[in-house]
Amino acid sequence: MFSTISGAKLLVLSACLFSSVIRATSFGNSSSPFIPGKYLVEFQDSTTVSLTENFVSVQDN
Amino acid sequence: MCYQTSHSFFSTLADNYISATPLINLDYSLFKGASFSLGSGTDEKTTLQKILSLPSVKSVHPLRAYSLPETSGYITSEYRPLSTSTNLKSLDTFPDTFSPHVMTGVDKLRAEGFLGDGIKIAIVDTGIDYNHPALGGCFGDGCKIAFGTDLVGDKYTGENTPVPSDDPMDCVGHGTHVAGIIAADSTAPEFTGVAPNVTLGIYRVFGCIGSTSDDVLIQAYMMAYEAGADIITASIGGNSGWSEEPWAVVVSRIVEAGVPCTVAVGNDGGTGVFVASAAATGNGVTAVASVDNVLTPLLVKNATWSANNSTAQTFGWIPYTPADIANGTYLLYDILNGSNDTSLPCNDNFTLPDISGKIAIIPYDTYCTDGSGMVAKVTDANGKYIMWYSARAGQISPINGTGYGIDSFGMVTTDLATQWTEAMAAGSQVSVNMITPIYESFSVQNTINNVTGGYLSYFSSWGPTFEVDVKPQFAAPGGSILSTYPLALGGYMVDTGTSMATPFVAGSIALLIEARGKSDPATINNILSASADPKAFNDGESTYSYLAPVAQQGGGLLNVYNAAHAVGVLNVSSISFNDTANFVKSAWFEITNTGSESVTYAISYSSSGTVYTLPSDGNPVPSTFSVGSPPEIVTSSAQLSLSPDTLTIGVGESASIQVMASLPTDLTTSRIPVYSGYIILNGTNDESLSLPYMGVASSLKDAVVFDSVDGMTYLSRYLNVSAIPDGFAFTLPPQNSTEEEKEQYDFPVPVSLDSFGTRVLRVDLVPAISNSMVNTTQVLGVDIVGSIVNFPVYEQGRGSWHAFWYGQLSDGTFAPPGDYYLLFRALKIFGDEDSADDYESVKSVSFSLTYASSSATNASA
Repeated sequence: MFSTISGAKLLVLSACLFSSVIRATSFGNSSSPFIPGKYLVEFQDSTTVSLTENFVSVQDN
Repeated sequence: MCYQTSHSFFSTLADNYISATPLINLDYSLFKGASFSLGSGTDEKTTLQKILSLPSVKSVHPLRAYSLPETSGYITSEYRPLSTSTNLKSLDTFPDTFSPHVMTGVDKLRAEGFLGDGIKIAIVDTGIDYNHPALGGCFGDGCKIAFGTDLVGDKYTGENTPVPSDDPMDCVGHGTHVAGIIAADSTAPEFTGVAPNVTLGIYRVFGCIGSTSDDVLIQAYMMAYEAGADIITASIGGNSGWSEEPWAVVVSRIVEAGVPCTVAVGNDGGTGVFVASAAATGNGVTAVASVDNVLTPLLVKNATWSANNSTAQTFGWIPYTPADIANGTYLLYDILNGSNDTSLPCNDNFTLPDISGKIAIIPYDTYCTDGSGMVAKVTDANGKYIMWYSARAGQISPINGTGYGIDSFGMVTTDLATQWTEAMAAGSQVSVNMITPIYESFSVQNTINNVTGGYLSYFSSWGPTFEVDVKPQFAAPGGSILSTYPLALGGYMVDTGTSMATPFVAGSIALLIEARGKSDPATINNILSASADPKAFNDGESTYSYLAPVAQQGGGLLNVYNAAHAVGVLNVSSISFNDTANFVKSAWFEITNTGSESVTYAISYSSSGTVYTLPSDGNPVPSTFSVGSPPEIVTSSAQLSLSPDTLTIGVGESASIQVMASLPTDLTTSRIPVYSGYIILNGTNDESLSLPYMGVASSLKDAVVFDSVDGMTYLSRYLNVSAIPDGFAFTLPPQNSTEEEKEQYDFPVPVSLDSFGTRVLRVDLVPAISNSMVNTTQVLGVDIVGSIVNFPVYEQGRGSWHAFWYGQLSDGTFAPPGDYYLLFRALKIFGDEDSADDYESVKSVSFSLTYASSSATNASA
């Protein structure tokens, strides 16, 4: 069907959040998905602004 | 210590034989780092450990992809060139009658001469059509869009390599719409932007399709900051609930450095509470919710109608695809033949007489079959033209009906269709005189939205964060907003979403800065929040007697005029009492009299609705919100003690108020009730301020992440998505298989629906037999072979996920053949990452694992 009723659209979106499929090579659609193999590194002394250290480091098993 | 640069970092990697491909260098004042990729054959865990061990490295984080917030629900997305004959206005505009401006006091502030002069707003988005006449018609020094760049190129999808250029032209439309909301000038018919005299910058972070990623967003924000932007705005986000995602942290740093940043809270209101998007979740970031416009603008074609050849009356209709109707006069045919029973066509025996040459009038919203079945009944009767009608005309997505045998689809309002059908029922012949759409420009037809206009849009995402930071901060008009669109896509469009509300706030901050002088971002949020207007709750169909929860509206609908003239200035924008385990027993806030005479304030409070996160049936999955069916909201709420409850403040003086909350005892704490309300300060100068407060009347550490009762966390297999039986035998693809070859195998697929967010999510491989000969490491009290590849992951929001697993572990090795189970573990909210007791866990059934030989793959391939 080519028409779109907004209520139905919402339900579709909600259903997506709770039942749709994660792409084959990446984790997660519950949050913004990670991009496989790509990383962000932050260097020491990167800022003079006083913020709590927030980045989570890669964990060692 | 010398600063590391991205260049020296990659040199260090090379010196240490660490293979990584540089992506984006991020050598900025508030963020020094870089992004890089590792090859597909890389042992990622070992490589990342080597990188982390470098003394210059502070942290490493996987890149996330971000999308433009999807609009949901009442979508209005018609792009059309507007008729140049319509109501051109002068002087940007006095009087300003554009309804979103009138709703928020922008009209009154502009009448005082504030139009955003001298303020620079940077937009992070899809680009801008800078050739648009209402946006200045050029890009560069001296233009309205004066600075910025294209960071990605047309072909960037979020997963490939960006190809920057100097040309931030918009091929999507989103950024041009955002730009017009801020700064369209009076060249635009029917409207202007909030602050038409600001200077805009544009940092293009999307290609023509796809998403963008952390590194590009951080680059855009840092470039905008270093270009001297006074305000930075982004209508971009991803379901999160956490404030610590890298992009959100960088935006927080910019806010801390003095630049207000507005970010859309998201369009996931349908999924209930605790779904605020990153980077709106960032500390100090202004998260913006959406309110529906009180008028719904329709971009329509004009035609005329008459009954029994009476005087012709002009009407507007929305053409869809196709809209191939020849100039001329057509009789209308009411498919219900005067009945109000919209189920009539559902009858299998329902047929129409020959309606060739007539336009069939059909109710859009209520019919039993799918629309194509309805269309078939029209074509069976030789009909070629359909005019739908709906009370939500203009709030419905563009319709493409090509291929159904109909020459023209259109839509009108229910009010107009009712006039027609009543006239026909009374025996009149109703005819319309149509003009082929291609030969006529569009015009704006405003209809009053007396259902949701002025109330929170039901699609607008709800906070708070999982750690009970108040989000959103406040709301602005975002539902059904007319603005500019790329000339190649029609020039103007009505669109809907927190994407539209967010630039509205950016423009409003520009007016506020111009009117009051520059302030730090926190003070700006404090003023805007206190002067905002808390709105009653509306579920998309009905308005309730109580205020909408702070989790939905923050401080309420912006009132920019009152903000500009606020005398009492608070030192906070909201109060969070947190959850019961972290309960803030006593909070303080301060008010300063910035006026010219003493003011006495009477201080009271008004509770808003308390929303239950979880449904009443014991299901740990949070309640969703569809139109007319919101999560359960009750009026029982916290009682506040305010001391003092009246005070007089002299000119330039400040005073403190203590706030203590007593939690209600009649709430079902297992359903995670989120209570909230507003502290009201009524001044003798007729000023009324409101301070939103919020808390959770349960311990969030008890929130369930894995719905194990309903079995929503389990191990599936690729070729049959369902829980596998105990002892299932997997034969995995050989380790050197291509993606195409892998898909021929029935490999394991861990699946979960996470009811709540978690800061750490693990999926570990554990030997099924405790005395297995496989090497193991004890992690959080369990001997594991390793985490499956790409795990653990961090800062996960609510929702479902699954992962295709071909046997690789996070250290790059492959699990040896054997018998195992998967152990899913999620760190509870406020839990200690190093404490096994603070994780919720689910064990999968046992399974055996072997690998096919390469020859088997080659044979099957």
